[in-house]
Amino acid sequence: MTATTNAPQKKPQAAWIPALMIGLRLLLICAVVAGIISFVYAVTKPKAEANLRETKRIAISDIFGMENPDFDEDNGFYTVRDASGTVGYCVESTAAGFGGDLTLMVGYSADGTIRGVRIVSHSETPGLGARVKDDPAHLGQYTGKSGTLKLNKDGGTDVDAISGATISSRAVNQAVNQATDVLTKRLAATSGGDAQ
Amino acid sequence: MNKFLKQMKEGILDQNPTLVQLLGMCPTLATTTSVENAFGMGMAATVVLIFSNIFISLLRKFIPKQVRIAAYIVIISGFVTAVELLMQAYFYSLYQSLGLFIPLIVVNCIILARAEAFASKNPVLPSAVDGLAMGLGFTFALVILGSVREILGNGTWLGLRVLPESYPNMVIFLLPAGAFLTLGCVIAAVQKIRNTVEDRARLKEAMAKKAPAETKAKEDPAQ
Repeated sequence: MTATTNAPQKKPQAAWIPALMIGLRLLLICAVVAGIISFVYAVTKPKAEANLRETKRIAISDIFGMENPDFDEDNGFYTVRDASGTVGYCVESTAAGFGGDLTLMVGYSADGTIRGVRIVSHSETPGLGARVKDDPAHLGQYTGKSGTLKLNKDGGTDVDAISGATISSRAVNQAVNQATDVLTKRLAATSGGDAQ
Repeated sequence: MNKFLKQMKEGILDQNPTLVQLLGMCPTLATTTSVENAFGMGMAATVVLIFSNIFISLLRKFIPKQVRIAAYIVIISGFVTAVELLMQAYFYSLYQSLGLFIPLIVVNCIILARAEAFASKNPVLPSAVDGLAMGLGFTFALVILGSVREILGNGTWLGLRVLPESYPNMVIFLLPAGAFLTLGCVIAAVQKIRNTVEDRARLKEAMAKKAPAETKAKEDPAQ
């Protein structure tokens, strides 16, 4: 008799405790994984940022053909100088690509024409979108151009998109145009009242 | 040792993850535009497969059966993210060439499939070997696809020109449509080879069965 009256009391306990244990184990796994990732992130962050800075420095020295470029940075706007004075500007710009943010550096001569474009970081698909970076002829199309540019595919006459990588090509074009806008505004602001 | 070889053969040929199991089609189709990309993707996936199999195998008794898939996904994506962060900090040039494949690896179902089908039921060492075998099978399939597509679509192999300059590049092989065409043909070819090998093995077996019976028959009257 006592056994049968005890049984219904035990049963609900037996049902929800293992279920809770399952949940707790999953929680534990998630917590440990999250802990590891945040630890690795905290440890690697300064190094990763230093790597990114180095990539930008290389991009600038590449665009301006200088071994050790001397430049000032102000919030993504770089003024590049040599012994004789300002030789040009570099603007960092980000647009949404196919796989995530696409960040590039656009170098300008002092008169505002593009000297070169280098992609700093991106997450486009290898073999498709990533060709905007891997195919040197694509970024080369921007050299010597100025003003707002449009892809030929979108009715412009400036830049050919890479076939199979329209979205990535558009992202590059958009980022370059944003950079040109930034440059135009900065130059207007620094030349101040006398220009207007 | 025999078991090891058998596992390797399974991974590369009999149970090839791409050509036989048809897993991981997204990275297969997307990254085989050149041999270099195919090889990079294959190697990165191999490393991740080996380690994810090891982790899952170590934890196989701790992970509750009812929520195992969720646990695998958390472990695999956590591991892959940690690897990406470490590469970004300490192997930056490697990150620049292989880093792009990493987000694609997280969603590669070969890794989840091996965790579920193998690592969750086997000890650590066989699981690691399984990861290696499946990874190499994946790399092998990708390199074949990449070779066909790069040669036909660009006239080069690993960046070296193999077809004459006058060869008109069949760009379709570099586009997604070409990926499907090539994949279909390669799968068909591999199936044909496997079937031929199987037929031969069966024929051999049948002959072997017949042969002792004959020798027995010959021996019998002598007795």
